[in-house]
Amino acid sequence: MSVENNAKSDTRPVYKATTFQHTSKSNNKKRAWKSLKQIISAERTLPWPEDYVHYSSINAPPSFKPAEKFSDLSGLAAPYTDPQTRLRFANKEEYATLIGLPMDITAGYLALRGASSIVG
Amino acid sequence: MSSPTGQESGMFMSIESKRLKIEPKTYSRRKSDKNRSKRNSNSDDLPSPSKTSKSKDKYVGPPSVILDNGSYTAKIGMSNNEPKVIPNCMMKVKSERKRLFISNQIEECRDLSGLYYLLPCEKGYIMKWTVQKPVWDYIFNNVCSVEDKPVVMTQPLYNFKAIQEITDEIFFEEYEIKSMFRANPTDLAKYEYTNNVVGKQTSCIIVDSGFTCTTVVPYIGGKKYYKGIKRINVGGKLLTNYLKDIISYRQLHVMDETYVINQVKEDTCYVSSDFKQDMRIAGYSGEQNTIVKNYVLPDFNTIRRGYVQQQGDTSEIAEGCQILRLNNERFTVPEILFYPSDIGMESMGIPETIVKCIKLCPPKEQPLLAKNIVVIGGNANFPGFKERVYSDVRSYLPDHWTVHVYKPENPTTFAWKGGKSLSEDSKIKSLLITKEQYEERGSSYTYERFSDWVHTQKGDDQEKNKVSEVKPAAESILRNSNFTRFDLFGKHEPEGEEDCVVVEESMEVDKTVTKDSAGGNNKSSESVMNVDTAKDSKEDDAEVSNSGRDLETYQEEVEEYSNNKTERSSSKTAKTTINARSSNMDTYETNCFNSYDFDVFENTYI
Repeated sequence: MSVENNAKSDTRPVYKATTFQHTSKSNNKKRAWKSLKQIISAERTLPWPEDYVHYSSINAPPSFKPAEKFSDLSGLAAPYTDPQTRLRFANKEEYATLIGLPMDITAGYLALRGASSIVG
Repeated sequence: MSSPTGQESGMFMSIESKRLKIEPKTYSRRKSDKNRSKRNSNSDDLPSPSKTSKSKDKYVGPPSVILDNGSYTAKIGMSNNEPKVIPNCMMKVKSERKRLFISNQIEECRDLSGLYYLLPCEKGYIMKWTVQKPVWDYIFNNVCSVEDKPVVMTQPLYNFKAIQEITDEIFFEEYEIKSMFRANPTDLAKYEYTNNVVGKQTSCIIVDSGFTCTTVVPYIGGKKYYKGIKRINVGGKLLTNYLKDIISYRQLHVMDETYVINQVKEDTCYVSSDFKQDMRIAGYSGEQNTIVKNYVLPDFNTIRRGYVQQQGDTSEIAEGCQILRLNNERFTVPEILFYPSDIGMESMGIPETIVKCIKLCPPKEQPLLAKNIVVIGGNANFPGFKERVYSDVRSYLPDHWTVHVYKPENPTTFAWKGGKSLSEDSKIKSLLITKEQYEERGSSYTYERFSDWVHTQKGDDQEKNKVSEVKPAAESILRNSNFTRFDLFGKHEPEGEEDCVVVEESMEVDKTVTKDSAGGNNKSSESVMNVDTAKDSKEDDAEVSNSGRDLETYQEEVEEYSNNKTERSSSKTAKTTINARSSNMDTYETNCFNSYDFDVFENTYI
């Protein structure tokens, strides 16, 4: 099936002009696509009217509800936080494993829930 | 799909039409009829009289190609057929290093371990053309031919100009399609919902929870209400990645197995209806824990696709299959859609955003919007998703509003279906841009036609004073109820000449009122006051002047409150001298205040 299809696509391209050559094909390599970040930041800096709604302004605002706390190890509701590693844990068994964890693993756990910044 | 004969006649046709200047639509109709009679004819498209008599405005033309170009899957199909859901990406696997799998070629691959995706889209926007182009080439060659057919395609909200230009170029110049229409998937979903689900034009909110992000778009009067649109940057991709992360930390290292984990997510995850209770159950061990499930991972030898192990069936473990034990992961992962703050994202979840979005809309429309919430996109497939959205939104909104959440049978293809119905509507004729038009007027023309966010808002700025849309109505409401705040922020309306007249009128009206009711203080000086000083004067003056301006523009709404007017004017004798209009507006305002009473996010709509 696929071989057939491939053969077909080789002989008959989807566009009708079989001799079609993309105008920018020769310098396609040089043509650097702007990344999405660049496009968005360029869009943001445009002089928009005050109440114009554009891409960057439709982001959902921060929630009004406080985030709940879950254990990093098991995902269960965590009433406790280890002050040293700042990991959360649900019970003493988890704490026992937690204190034995190396630094990079605890950092990874924190990054997982977006709490790796020093301030937070 | 496409036969060589079709291609020949296609070429023939393009030459012919150039030479003879036959009107393309009629010609292609004849041509496609001929083609169809050659193949097995599809009665659905033939202009049978019975069909046309049923619905008068049905557009009978050549079937169009509908492409819902999602960031993960493309939904593609002819308008007279069912859609195919195929991956919109290229893939590499570890077992066959040299081969690049395009789209659904991946079905031919036996060993899917370590599957690596090359996705064309970033955040829903086509960014990697080197990936997207081959995928499209493949799709249109093997799955659905675009030759000489109108194309209805989706594009994300605020699709950037550069992207649209390239899309035009590819479709019009390389594929040489006949005509094209692009719309947001939410537009198509709204079309499908209002036309085929409810059956009448209504305001609604479309919640599109897709692969890269979730957008909440309110539609009022058939148009997007831009001030209410919100986007949450949580989508299926983030959920899969999160599940991958937590499994890797807790059990097995699966960081390279995106494809498998995506299947795990689809097979086991669900949206909890009572999160706290489920969490408690997940904490139990043994029999009491009804949530824990064992998932047998595929080994791509005997097991091609992973599956959930049945309770009490332990035979697989003995055979040495790898098993994932999924406990609270099953519902904490989709929970991110509802509380992105769980993973440290400073963003509202879906229900909160829906409510926020409703609050940003004109008060008159708010109950209607709550009644028409439509959830589409792949994430809506999670079991319990609709129920959870309903119960959460319900808890935020006032008791006497009805809340209804509609989840289509297949949320993934709902937008596609909308495209299909749209292509059968006679309206499509005026929406399509033909190749000739494109060649004549270029890409900026298509950009303007397909990007309603450009001119909707532009127009809004220009004719702020005379548009009778609902949109400015909401603004005026906000302005009236928070006049002082806007004053602080220095948001004054541009003052046209008509405005001045209106303001002066109402000023005079006001003067008479105050003279009648409160007696004359220093109001006599106001008769020579110009508009600017009026703005700086006491708040209630300004309010009246403001309302006087609104009157001029929103007659229809005012009429609605004429009943209230009579009541009010009888109760307040002092106001009987006021002309009817401003009394109307007063009641209008108080009504607005009433509906704002329950506002949970008070003062947040700036």
